[in-house]
Amino acid sequence: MFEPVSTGRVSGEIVGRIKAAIRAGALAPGDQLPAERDLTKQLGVSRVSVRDALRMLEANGLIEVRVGARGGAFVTAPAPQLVGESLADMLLLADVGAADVTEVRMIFELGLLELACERATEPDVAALHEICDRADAAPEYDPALSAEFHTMLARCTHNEALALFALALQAPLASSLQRARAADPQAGRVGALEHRAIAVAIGARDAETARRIMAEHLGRTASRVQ
Amino acid sequence: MAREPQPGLFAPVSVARASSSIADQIREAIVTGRIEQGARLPPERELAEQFGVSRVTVRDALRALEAMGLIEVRVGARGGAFVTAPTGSIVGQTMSDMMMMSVVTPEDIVEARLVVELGTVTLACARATDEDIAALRDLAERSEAALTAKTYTRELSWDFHALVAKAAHNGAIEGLTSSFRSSLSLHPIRTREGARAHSLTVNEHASILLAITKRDGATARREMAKHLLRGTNLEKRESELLELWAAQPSPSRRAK
Repeated sequence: MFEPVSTGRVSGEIVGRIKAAIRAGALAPGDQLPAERDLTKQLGVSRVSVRDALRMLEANGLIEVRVGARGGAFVTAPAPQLVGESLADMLLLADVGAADVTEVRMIFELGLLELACERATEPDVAALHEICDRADAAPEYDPALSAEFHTMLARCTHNEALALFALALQAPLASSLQRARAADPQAGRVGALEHRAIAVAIGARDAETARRIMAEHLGRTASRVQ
Repeated sequence: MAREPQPGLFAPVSVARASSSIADQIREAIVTGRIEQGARLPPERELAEQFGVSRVTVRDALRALEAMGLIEVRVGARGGAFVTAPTGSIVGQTMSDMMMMSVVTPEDIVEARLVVELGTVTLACARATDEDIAALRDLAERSEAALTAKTYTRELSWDFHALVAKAAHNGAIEGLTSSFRSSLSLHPIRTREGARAHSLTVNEHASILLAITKRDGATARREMAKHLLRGTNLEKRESELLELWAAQPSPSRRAK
């Protein structure tokens, strides 16, 4: 006569209610949620369902659980890297090949150079050069510094969505780049020189030059991950 | 000389920490392929034994993995926690949450979409198969009919963009496009759109499709840019981006 209600559905409903309260402005970042016990009473559900809902909100980056005397569940804004992580997981697990990822990365990174040239502040340009300085001083090519450079470049657009997509697209490529590096240790050095030239072009607001160097830079990656 | 223990040598162990450490370990195993797609995780009881924690802690970890789209919990006799891949809708949900909290603005997403979709339509011109074009034509006919019957919805519009992404034959592009769909369709960015806007949308889609059919990348990009930028405050992006794409070499007709 009755459809069984799974706990998954009840907790999903609770997640929906809490999100609705945030959307309506009844809850804002920094606000503390009522205690588990109180939520259980207010919503007329079991404590297990409330607990499940809180864990899901936590995984979605919408609440932060602090322990201790002044602890509790506090509303927070999701960190950008959360989108990056789930995007990276999606691409990794959907078996999207390195060639596909490189192609999209090319689209993204070439597309954002115009914006970067237009919107980069002086401190942004200085940050790009500072990363290049550290790469120059490093005893050997460090792929982490390369990732840092591309991330900083995307941040120059002052568009959070572009920055996090560009970041997410690096993760699925990391292992194939490691393999490529083993095959051709010089490639990293050439890449470092290209990074410097891109930083100079961004500083000069010269999108055309930045684009030409970036196309070569990513093109080499593309040929190595095929 | 014996040293005083350093303050902060050990971080306090909390239940929340234990469950996220377990979630991280399982996530790592899934992402590196040590646990395969579709596989069922051991029951809660067994996981609790393996990790040396309570069942409540394991349950917390499983809820977190479920929210990340890495496992799917099925109930019933053949139920359990099964490994799945996160879909574009999970990614889109997080983006939508970020828009709700003003971390990302809808304009940010439109701008990102423009960057991606000009690339997408370029690839579609080079790679669309006869089947891809037939599917797009079929959708165009259904859209015309829905317009006449006044039943056109934005879902049909998103279907068009999803089919163009499919015609690009790049899995990463398909994934990104589906995440745009679920983030923007949750946002009232275009709620003001009425019947007139729908008919503009259908006409613009038809122009894009025609260009794809003729394998005319430059026209497809121009039409796509016009379409995506209509009604936004980003119109000045249009010429810059078109110039950028004109300067790129044609994509390869990669066989898939």
